[in-house]
Amino acid sequence: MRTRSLAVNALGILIVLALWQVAGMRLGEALVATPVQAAVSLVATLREGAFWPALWSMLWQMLIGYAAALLVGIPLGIAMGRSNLVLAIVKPWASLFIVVSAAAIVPLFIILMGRGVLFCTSIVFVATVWYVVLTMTEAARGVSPRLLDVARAFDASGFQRFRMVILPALYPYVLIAARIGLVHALRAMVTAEMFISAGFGGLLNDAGLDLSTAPLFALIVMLMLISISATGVLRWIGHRSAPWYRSQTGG
Amino acid sequence: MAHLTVSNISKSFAGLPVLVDQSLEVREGEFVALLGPSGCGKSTLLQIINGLVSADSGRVVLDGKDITGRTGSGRGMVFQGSDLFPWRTALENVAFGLEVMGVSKAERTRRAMHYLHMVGLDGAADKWPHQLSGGMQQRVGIARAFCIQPSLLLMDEPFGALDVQTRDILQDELVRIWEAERKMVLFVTHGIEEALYLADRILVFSKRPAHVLKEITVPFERPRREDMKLAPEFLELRREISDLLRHDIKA
Repeated sequence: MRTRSLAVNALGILIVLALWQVAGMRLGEALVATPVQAAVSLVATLREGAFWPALWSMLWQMLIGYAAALLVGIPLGIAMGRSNLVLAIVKPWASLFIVVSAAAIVPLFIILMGRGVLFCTSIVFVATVWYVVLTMTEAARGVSPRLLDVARAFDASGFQRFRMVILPALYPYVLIAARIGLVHALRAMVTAEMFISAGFGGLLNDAGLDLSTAPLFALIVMLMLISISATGVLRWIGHRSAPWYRSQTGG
Repeated sequence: MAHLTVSNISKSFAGLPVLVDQSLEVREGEFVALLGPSGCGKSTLLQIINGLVSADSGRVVLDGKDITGRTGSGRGMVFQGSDLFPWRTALENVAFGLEVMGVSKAERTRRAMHYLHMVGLDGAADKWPHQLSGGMQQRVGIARAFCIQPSLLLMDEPFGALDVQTRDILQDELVRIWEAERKMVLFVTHGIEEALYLADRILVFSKRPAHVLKEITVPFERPRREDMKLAPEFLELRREISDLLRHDIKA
């Protein structure tokens, strides 16, 4: 079953690559570079001196904003899910901010903070935190009232119910929130860097301005690989550390 | 002397009376079944005795102590769907009540192992609930309630969700365990045969608002045997209760 689904996955990827190759050969490199050209360009990019420092500077700045978003978002989301008061106060703001794209707030943040580390991490933070908050809110609201009743029947205090029922019930959702947040953090970081022409986003910007699509594709593929492998690692951690959860959802 | 006195309990939900002025007594070592149609309010009565639901009026006194509206102290509860904590192994589920009480890890593991052994699940101590069958899960649920050594055991249709064969086996197990460690039991069920097979005394409840139609002292010897379900006396009592309930529902 598993090998078969892997084979189907691989086939899907091959079909898209073949279509891309055909489109690229028809339209020419200036519009759509072929996968082969992109691959060649990717190797060249990886060898280039500018790539690795750009990647590194993007990642560490993103990780600061991302970590801050988790540190604030997880407790806030749990509080919102378990307290109607906190929910009533914070939910309207969360709903407002979550629909604003990172690109829309970049100009404001440049005015407020300039173009340094503070700017990038702040963009990542505000673009990520609300997804973490809302994921945790839903999870916290969904904690089984029956299991809370069991704990109450065994005379668990409010704090014991929080520590022995709510927290373990939420643990898998923390990892889901981290996964969703990571995708948004990475997107926001690249957007921010493209505006200020720095780091990885800067490389993307330059490639676009050069009208050379092969390096552009190479960079985009790199971005995808980073995002997929990072979320894959988080998923793996989730399945390893909470095996009971995977069995429940079949995920 | 262990003793439960429940007096003049009334309860309505949103103006709809579910229980009106209900009283009952359970003597030391007595197994009492609360038998009645689904949704008649007998489960609500059990939850009031447990303290999970507050009564509008009336008192619950266990072993001379007024425990009205309070959970814990002397009561163990077995829930309908077993309601195990999915993030705890079978052993950790059984030990839950002791952990709430602050019993040391070594001691609670030792005691939980004893009760797991009693329900025949020695080998399943480290299994997650999802790895156990429905019947095994409910065995863990029973062990969890026994493990805090309550003077009163409350069981809310514990075998309601199981298939007939598993239910028969678990009834026998329960009789065996209870005969080894006699405590007061209140057992809610809508199964006439189950009530006759397990209980010393049956309180037959009407449809909502629940009141006791009839109190039946079960005349069969202990230890009970599966083949007594076919004895003429058993069948006669069974028909009598069945007629009583049918008549009440039509009235």
